[in-house]
Amino acid sequence: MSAPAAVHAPSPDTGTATAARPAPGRACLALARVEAVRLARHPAVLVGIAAYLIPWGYSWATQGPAGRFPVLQDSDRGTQIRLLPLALATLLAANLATLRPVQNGTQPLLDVLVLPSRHRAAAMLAALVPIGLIAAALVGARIAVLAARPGASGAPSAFELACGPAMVLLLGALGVLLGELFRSPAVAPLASVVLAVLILAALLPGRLADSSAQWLLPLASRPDGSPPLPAGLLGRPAGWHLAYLVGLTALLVAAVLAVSRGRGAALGTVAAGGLALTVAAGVLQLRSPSGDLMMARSEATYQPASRQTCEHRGTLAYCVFPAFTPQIAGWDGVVHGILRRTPPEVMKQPWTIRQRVWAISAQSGGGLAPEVPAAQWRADDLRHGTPGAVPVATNWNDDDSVLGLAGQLAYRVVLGANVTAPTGATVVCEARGALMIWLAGQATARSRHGLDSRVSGSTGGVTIPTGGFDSGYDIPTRALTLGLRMLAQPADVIADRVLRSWPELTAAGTTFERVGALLGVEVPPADQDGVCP
Amino acid sequence: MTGLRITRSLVGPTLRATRQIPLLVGATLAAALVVAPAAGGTDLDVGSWAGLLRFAAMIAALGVTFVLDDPSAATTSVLPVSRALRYALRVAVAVPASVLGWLAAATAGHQVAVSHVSTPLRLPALTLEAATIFVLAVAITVGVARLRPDGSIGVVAAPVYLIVVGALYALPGRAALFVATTSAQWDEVHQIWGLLLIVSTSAAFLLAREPASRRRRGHPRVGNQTIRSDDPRVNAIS
Repeated sequence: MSAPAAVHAPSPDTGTATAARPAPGRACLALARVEAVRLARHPAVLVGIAAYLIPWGYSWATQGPAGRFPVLQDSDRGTQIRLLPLALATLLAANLATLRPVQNGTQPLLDVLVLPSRHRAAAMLAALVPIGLIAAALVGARIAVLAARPGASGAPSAFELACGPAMVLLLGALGVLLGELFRSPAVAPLASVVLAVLILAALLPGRLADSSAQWLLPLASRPDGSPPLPAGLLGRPAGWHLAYLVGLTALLVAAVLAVSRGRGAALGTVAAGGLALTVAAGVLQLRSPSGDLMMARSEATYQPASRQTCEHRGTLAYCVFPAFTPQIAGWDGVVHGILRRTPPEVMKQPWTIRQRVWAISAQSGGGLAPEVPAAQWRADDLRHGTPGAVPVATNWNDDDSVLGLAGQLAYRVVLGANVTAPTGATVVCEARGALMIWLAGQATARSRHGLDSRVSGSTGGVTIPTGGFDSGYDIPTRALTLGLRMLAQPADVIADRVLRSWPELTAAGTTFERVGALLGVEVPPADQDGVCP
Repeated sequence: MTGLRITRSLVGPTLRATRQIPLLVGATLAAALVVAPAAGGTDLDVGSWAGLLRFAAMIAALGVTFVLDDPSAATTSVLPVSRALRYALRVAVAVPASVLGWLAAATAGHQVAVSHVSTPLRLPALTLEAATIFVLAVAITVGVARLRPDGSIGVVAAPVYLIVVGALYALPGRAALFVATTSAQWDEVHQIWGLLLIVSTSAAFLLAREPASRRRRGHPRVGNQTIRSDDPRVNAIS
């Protein structure tokens, strides 16, 4: 066994030491590489990545609504909340990596190494970059898959997409800073749970969710569920928010290096730049929406026709906000599914389907509207030569929107093309209500599914929604039950009988007993609620 | 020395040796999470207050994951006191802070619900959820303690707890455990919470037993031979 080679550790006090000392940059890079691999393999980070992928896989496996007809200007910020577990995991893992010497009792040994503590801290910070790149790859993959889906509409915002990975880097840097400041492993879990709670609490309906103060949190994303807005009406300060996150990260980096005895002009510049960017972007992102934006939102809500383009297919016109054209392919099946069951004079009418959206809201334009602005819509439609346009929501991923279009078209087919849009107080009784239910339910499999979901979630009749709005028209229990019994019969048989008796079925005052006799369907007992005579 | 006397003499040292700061910070943050918006008159619906109370329960229980941290584990593990008793005492230290944190949060939530919100807050069921989360944190910590004989338990138990609670919070659709207060499945889901409480409690007790390898090591062995004393009293001690 040969004797080990003598190692001459350079002494910092001698002049020759400088020449013998390895380049700190290279050592720092080597350490960063090792730490990055350890971070990427840390169980918490792996769980964070799994938390991103599992809901995606679940939605794909169950063919859930998340991947159907995606609207990319909504899906882009949807990636942010999905990255929250990974960001919190990075905070924990980076903190544990920083505390490793303390936990293992090797801190005094590190102090005698040639690599100064500020370089070790810099290496730890640099090790976060690959995790940020993993986050960016996850976001990129998600949005690429959604964009490749048939029926994908809109365009993602690069700023919104970048905010998620920026949040991962920010929270990772926070984990390193907490590790440098506090030697207790309890601080990072407490910080991460408090951050998570603040972010989730800001999503709860209430004052914080409505206020612009939520932009001061790392993640500002309104909950899913509200129909998407056209990109021009969003008014989200995503660019400023990204700059705010970058500024905060620079501040944290400077703080980490300062705590680890880093000095120098470059550090001062990073700190000053980070502070300036944080303050400037932080203030700018809190500005109220401009007057022009508010006017555009109001116009899109009450007089949308001038902001839309129409695609004509035979006697049908499909009017959409810009970039929503791919959704027309989904509407077409529903419209034909209803019109094929109507007499030729109804089928050949110039039907117009028009997107409706509620864009009036404090922060992001989301939220459901209290009431349908039927009078304004009617005036707008008359001005643009499309009286009685059928409303449809801007989202086409859930079956409720499909039922909305089917139900609204059925409403006009039965009552006449020029009828005003139904408001929350509209109740359709007797034969006409049952006919609307049948028409809407038999249009497509998705409209039937949407109807079944509505029926199972309500008691005493059902409300057929108006696209994008939280109101619609009501079908009382007896008409609903009769409509459902019609749906239970073979569709072609009922369709023949409906066509033969169309004038009588669509006339006011036709009784349930008469409908039962005409269609050969058992009539349900009279309503107890007395809504309809 | 009787069991009661041993327990009594252990209380003081356990209280001194248990990590209190994470517990107190967790309980304080939990209480502040509900008390601050309640005192500030924040306008929230009943579902949001229930959401805040659930978050408070999660934060309060986080401190528990650090109560078994014991730098002297190598020496305490050989004491003639069972692991279950030592752990039970440390968990008992955690109970008052967590209960006080929850009580403060629940009282603030209840006051707001009574005065501002028309629908009930369903505090008993939310307390069941909080108790289950607390016991779950204990079970996770005790489980991690079996794998970390060096006594640094919270450093692993806390992230594991956060992952487990995060996963429970994210359960989708019909599998959801944190359902809305207006949900039709409320009673059904809280039967599952009750079941989870029983399972967590049983798991915590089972995991707190001395590892089987140690229990088997009752008599010293040389090869396949168990060495027994001629004196039955000596065998009885081991």
